[in-house]
Amino acid sequence: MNIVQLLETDRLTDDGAGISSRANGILVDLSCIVLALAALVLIGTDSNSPLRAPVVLIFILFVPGWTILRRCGATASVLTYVSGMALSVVLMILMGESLVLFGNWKWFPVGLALTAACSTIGATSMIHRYRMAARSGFHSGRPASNWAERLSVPTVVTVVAGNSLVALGIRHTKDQNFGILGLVDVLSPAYWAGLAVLVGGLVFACSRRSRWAWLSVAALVIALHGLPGMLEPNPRFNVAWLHTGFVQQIANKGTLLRGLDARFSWAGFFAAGGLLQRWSGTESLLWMVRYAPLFYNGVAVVLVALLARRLHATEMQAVFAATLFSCLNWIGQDYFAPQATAFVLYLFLITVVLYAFPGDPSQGRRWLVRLTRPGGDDRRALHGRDGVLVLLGCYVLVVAVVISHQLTPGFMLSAMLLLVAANSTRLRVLPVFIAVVFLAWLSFGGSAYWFGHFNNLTGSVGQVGDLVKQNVGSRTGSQVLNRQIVIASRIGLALLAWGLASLSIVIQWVRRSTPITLVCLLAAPFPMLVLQPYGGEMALRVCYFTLPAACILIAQLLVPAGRVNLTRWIACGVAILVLLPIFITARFGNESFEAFSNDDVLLARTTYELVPDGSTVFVATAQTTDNFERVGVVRFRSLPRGTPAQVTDVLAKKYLRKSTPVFVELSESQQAHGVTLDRPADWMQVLIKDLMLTGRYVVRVRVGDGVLLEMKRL
Amino acid sequence: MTRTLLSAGVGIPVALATMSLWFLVEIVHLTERPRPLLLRSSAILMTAILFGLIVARFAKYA
Repeated sequence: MNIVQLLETDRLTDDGAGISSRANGILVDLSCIVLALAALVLIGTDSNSPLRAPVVLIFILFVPGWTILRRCGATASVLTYVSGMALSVVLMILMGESLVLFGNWKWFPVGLALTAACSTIGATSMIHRYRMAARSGFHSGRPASNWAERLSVPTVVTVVAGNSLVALGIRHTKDQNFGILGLVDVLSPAYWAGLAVLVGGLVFACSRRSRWAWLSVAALVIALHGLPGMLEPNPRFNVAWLHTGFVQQIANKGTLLRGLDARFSWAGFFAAGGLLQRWSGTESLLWMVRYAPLFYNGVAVVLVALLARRLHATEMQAVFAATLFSCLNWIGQDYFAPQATAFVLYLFLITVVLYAFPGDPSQGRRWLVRLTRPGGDDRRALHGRDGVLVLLGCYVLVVAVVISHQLTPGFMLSAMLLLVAANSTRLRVLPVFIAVVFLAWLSFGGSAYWFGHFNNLTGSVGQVGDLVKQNVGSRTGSQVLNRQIVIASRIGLALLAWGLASLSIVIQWVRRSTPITLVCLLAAPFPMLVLQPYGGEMALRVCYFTLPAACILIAQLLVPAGRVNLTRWIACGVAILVLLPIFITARFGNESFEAFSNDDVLLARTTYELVPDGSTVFVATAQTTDNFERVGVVRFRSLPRGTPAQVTDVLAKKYLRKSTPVFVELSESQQAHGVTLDRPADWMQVLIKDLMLTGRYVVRVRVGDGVLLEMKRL
Repeated sequence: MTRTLLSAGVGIPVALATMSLWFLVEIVHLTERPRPLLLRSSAILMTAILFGLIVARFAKYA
């Protein structure tokens, strides 16, 4: 099998008519050349055009990878589009990190060279392709599909009506200062009605086995994961703001502050962001934070569908798996972060490995086959030059993931080991390669992280009791009823997904067709749970990485492979409708403190205007917009524990110097976070009053309930 | 001497060589060509050297 045959078989649809055709491929080629030329001109002239940022963003996310793939002879298909995107991101990560480490951060000439190369190579390969097509008489190679004939009017109507209701609902919803339950408490009935209409359209399309069901899935993903972006006045989540600060540091100074934060030792993602910031000519990447979850979930949903189709799911099972993924991904790791990017790259690697280098689990070790009863897989692997090129791409992707994120290589290693052991892939060396690159980078690239405190990194290996306490106990201890509801909905959704997936495995095992590849992908993340607590977040990551396999398994359980009657689809639709409020509760149950009001943002911006370089700003909880500018120059720290008098004493003695003024910033988001930690509703106002009573502070600015205090020198 | 041996200047070239060797091993496996003499052994040997360097670094600097 060569790469063209491989890409011809990646159809999401059952009838063989893909979403794209070769003609569309040439249209995309042309668009990429135009984009590359536009980016070349915009970067070269340092244009102030408002088009510069979107043009450069689309260029970075797609064009370099697409150009390489087309140069290698890839045909247009869903897998090629996703591969173009993944390859582009990988190239940006490697290029950004190389420029920071070895290239003196020469972003300008590199930007010009890359855009010029993409336009030139893109043009030559398009001309070559056109000549080849002319010689062979412009065969499309595939039966043209008549979309107009197959247009599912009811689905399109439900999508338009559902989206209109969703938009109306968002317009009539309170957009800041949410309660402890988060968004579920404030959403307008019109929003819920819109979701119901979208699900209705999905059920209708699925019952007709129409490919237009994908339109409903897309609308549902936008309505669910674009919700905070469309509703809230400011980009959400403190860590996403912090990451834009890291990107800004690299973009402006081209250096890594390894001593300041461990994440600078795995800076591939931030370096790529630095390139984007410089090439797009913006002051910060905060403009990307708002819709980053929508982008990551959109790509992940496509990958889940491709993976499902590769693993013998029918088109409607793939639709249902993709829908489930968007309704069960409450984990909240899809913000502007290395984790979200690495997760998508992980999913992409698994998908490509299973498409390009499949094995046959039924031909594996005899005892394992007897025990697991796997179904057969007669898909042929890529060979020759195409196989080598795809393999090279996979290996390069591993390097990009390793230098961008500490945890994902572990999940990747675990998954690949199991896939190799189960003979789900013909590859044998990839797990060894992942281990070598990970350890080499940890030892030589991440040394600032572990020098002198290696025990912190490895001390919790195998200490299951402590790990469970950090991962689960510390997150479920709230006494506030509404908070308990949010936490219960999260645990409930995770257990539901794992429970139904396990049931699906058992039933298929009894039928002697165990989906062993999915079993491997479901089981692979769990060993990470006993290795490192990762600040109590490892359980969340495990949940995140098991979700794609769990969704496909659940889809196989609930949607039979043959013809499905309307009653069953209606039952599935009702199940999704029941799931949606639980999902909104679980996913957006932190909005009381993860969303930022206008007052929060005004206070943060005023703080940056008022505090001089070298200042230390203390905050009561980390849930605030800090470190999104002047990273390393203005330091943010948590207030020490103790009474206001003791705290003041520590700040004065330990931190207050002539060159390092001390400030205390208390914002509305911190107040809301404190309430979820069982503090009284007015805890922050009491704290402000007590701090002022010490006589050591002066109010520099007050915005809403928030305040910036400066410590006086005596 | 030890400091030089354990530095990134030595470790990174060794890591790159090890990664390249394993990539070649995978290609040979996939293409089902006859395996070049000592390719796999060299990959294992380089891996052992690399892991030795990494463990020594952890032992010295942790």
